[in-house]
Amino acid sequence: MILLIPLLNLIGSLLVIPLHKLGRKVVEYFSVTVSGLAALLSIYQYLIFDGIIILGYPNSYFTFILDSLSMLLLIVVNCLGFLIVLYSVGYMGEEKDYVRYYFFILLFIGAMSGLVLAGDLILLYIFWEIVGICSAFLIAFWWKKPEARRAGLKAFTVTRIGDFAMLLGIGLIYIHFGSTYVPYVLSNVSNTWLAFPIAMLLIIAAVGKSAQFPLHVWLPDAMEGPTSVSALIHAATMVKAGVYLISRMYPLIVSSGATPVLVSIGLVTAFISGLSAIASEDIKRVLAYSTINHLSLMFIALGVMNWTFAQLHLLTHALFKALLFLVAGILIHETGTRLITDMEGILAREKLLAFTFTVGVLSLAGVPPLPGFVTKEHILDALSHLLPEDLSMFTSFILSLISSLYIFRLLFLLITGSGEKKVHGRDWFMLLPVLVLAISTLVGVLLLETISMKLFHEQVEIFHVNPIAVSGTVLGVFLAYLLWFKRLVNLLPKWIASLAMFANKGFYIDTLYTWIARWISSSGSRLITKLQCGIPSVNVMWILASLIILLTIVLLGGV
Amino acid sequence: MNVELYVIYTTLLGVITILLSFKFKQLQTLVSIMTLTILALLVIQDRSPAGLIGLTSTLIALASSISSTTLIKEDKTFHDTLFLVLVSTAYLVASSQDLIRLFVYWEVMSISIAVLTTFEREEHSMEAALKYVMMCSSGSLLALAGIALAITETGASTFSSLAGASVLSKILIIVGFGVEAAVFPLHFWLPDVHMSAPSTVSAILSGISIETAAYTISRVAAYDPMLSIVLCFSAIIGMFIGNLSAYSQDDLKRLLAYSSVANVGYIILGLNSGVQLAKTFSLLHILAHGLLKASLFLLAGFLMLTYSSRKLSKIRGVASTSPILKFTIISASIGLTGVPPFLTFWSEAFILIGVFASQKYGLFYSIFLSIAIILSFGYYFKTFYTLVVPTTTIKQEEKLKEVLLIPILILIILAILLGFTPDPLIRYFNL
Repeated sequence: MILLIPLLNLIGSLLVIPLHKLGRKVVEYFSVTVSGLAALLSIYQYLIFDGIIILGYPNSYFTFILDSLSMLLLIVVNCLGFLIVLYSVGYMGEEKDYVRYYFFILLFIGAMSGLVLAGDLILLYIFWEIVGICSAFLIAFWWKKPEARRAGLKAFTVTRIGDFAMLLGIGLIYIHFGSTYVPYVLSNVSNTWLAFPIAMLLIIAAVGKSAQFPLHVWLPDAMEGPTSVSALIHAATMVKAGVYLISRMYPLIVSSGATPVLVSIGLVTAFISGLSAIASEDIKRVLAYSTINHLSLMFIALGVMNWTFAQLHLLTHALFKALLFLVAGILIHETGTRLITDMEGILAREKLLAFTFTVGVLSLAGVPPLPGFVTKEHILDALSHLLPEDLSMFTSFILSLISSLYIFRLLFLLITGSGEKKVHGRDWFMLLPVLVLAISTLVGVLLLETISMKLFHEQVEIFHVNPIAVSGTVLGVFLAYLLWFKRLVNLLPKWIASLAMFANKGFYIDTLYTWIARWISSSGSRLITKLQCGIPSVNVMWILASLIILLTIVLLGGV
Repeated sequence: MNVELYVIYTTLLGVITILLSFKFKQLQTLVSIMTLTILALLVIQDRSPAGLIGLTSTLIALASSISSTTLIKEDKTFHDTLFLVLVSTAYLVASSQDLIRLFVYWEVMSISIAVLTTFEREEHSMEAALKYVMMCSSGSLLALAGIALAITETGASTFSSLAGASVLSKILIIVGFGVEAAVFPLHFWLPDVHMSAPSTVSAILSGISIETAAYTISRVAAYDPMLSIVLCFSAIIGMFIGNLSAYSQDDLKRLLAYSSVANVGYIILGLNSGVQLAKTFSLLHILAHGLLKASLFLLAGFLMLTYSSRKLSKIRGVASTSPILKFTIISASIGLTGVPPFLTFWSEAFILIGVFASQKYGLFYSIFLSIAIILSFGYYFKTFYTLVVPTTTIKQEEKLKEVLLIPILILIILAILLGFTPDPLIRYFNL
């Protein structure tokens, strides 16, 4: 029954291929039905959930675990997955390659459900890789565009750097514990020196998948994919896998003492991504950087031992980020551009979209009483357990300031200004998911309370106010109002503009990586090609040379 | 049951029948296929790594043989006989427990490769063959000297007697046989030979022959820990040379050849790391890589036949109109990067875990292996992006017949089916 949830999507993705003979509508309705069924099943599973269920076969990799952590993720993945598939019917309505699209989308959702249910690290790794491939193919979906191709390759390569770290981590676990069965490993976490390297390797894996510094470069580029895909990657699948991995292996990470690493990574990433988001000129890139920003909040939460709120923030982030992406998708779909300057003022003429977008923005910025406020507040508050009082207050002030600054900048630019672009007509396939998400964000606090009580047995303190963080948010809104609502941005001194350019380029970290990669693949390759000359006599000399070298090594080696 | 002897007889019988039926091309193919099937059934009686190598060899050969009906236009007799011999030598070399017989099989293998390289009788084939003959004969001489030395020293010609032989003899054998295994720095002949040989032969050569050679030298090196370490280091350099060289190649077959140099590097590293897990999965990687690489080589042959060019820059987007061709190219190239559900996923993942557990330099090996594998993504993606993404310039009058792709598809589907779980293979062949 539980396994039916991932299986529905996995088998559905395979069935899409033969079904396309029956026409486009069949494929679309089939995908919606399959993902809808999976969503219903996961909700049903949630309702009857009381305690851990373990399914599986002893001594094999095929074991599955349904506990409160996987239950939460299962709901998030499948419900959002369903809404996004529904949205796709409208968004990808004119796309010719719809078979490829639905195949990968369903596979993506199914693999992610499998990932969160996996009870064995090897099985988890298999799903982890499938999720990676699906995202690479979906990012490169419009592969006629060279940027899309490059973005797909980049996502695949960068995340697989993390994957190899994970593989080595699993290897160490296997060598050390003799098993890769998660509960066994976690119950045998002893204070060996190996716990730290294992934890570090798993953290690197999570950093790659969840786009944290220094492996965050693939996520902004991933915006080349269709917006529905971005919504799925950002809200439900892929990037949440890294946070999930850390949460799943949490006892091991804590006992190894690697939690300060999580906090440091989180803080660095939060600053870099927040500043880049303020300067971005592309609506989707703002949202992408903001995802990186919020993922780093989850990393911080895990680092400061606030495990429950990392999960709850994952939930709230999923809601508002999916909402923002889907609205942005409608705007992009209608205007045909992603540049903010080209769509200025578009929301002023579109009340419904403006309202839903604002709901998302308010939750993201952490304005009470929306769910984003509750979870963010708790995480920033917990910082004081680790950092000195002053420093933690300063950090939470700056972080709140930055995040309200970048998201209100986006909002104000979209509702003011003299753009001509308009949204034509209404596609209910696209509007319905947006409305559902907006409503669930509005009542999000109630959702948070019930889910937290049921799954984590923890009462969420809703009106827990951290005055420093709130004043940061308010200041951010005020500054954004002055700069972009009142359009005082041009009065800023010139050096700030050049700083913004610098931040817009993601602090040139990506450029540096690209340069290195290009250098290796062109210059390095040319050099190596030159080394190998095609003159037979020289090649034969190599044989003798290697003979002599081998002899020398062995003789010197004292064998 | 003495599989070795049966394999020799079956091959001979097959060769003679093909020679006798030189007037009937269809019959020749039929005989080849039947002989290969019998060979496949014979080699799987041998439940050892050699059996797995033999199975890989015959599987690739079956697909190549079916494809050869369209790929090989003239001199079918010549091709079919030597091809059969080449295929059977892979098993014979891997299973041989006697040094003298090993050397004989080795020479038969080298000669068939050399002759098949000149198949097209063009200037560049001659050049490639010359290069190959020069390098391989020098190598063979060294190996012969090594074998002679070992036999004089120990008084026995069994493979296991190498344990008591001097280091010098082992070094001579490794360097000599290392030429065929395309170990750095002895791999220079490989790309040229692959370019000149017919695609059916390249598939065998790249898919199994060099891997068999790698397996053989690793068997020798196993008797001396120092040699194993040296081989590991040379394998690491080889991976980087192979992967980096592949980037700048425009010729599809040359690109694939360089990627084989890299993959042989993974296999040698795994076999010589001294960890059982890595050894097991390196052997599995021979099968996994062989199936996918062979399918790409055969595909390159078909593309050459249809579009008379193998240069990636000239055959942009040729696969964009045929879903089956698209599937073939994408899955084979993505499979070679080691992702599920392909068999390569298991082999690459566990080679990495295995070498990590190596006593000496484990961390070093695993880091470099990961970097090498990551480096390879770029050109595999480039390959399928170039072929699959539609362009406006291609002419669509000439189209590849999709029926021809069936043998290639079977290889790929096999790589996927076996990829569900590697356990049965490991247990069956006692890897």
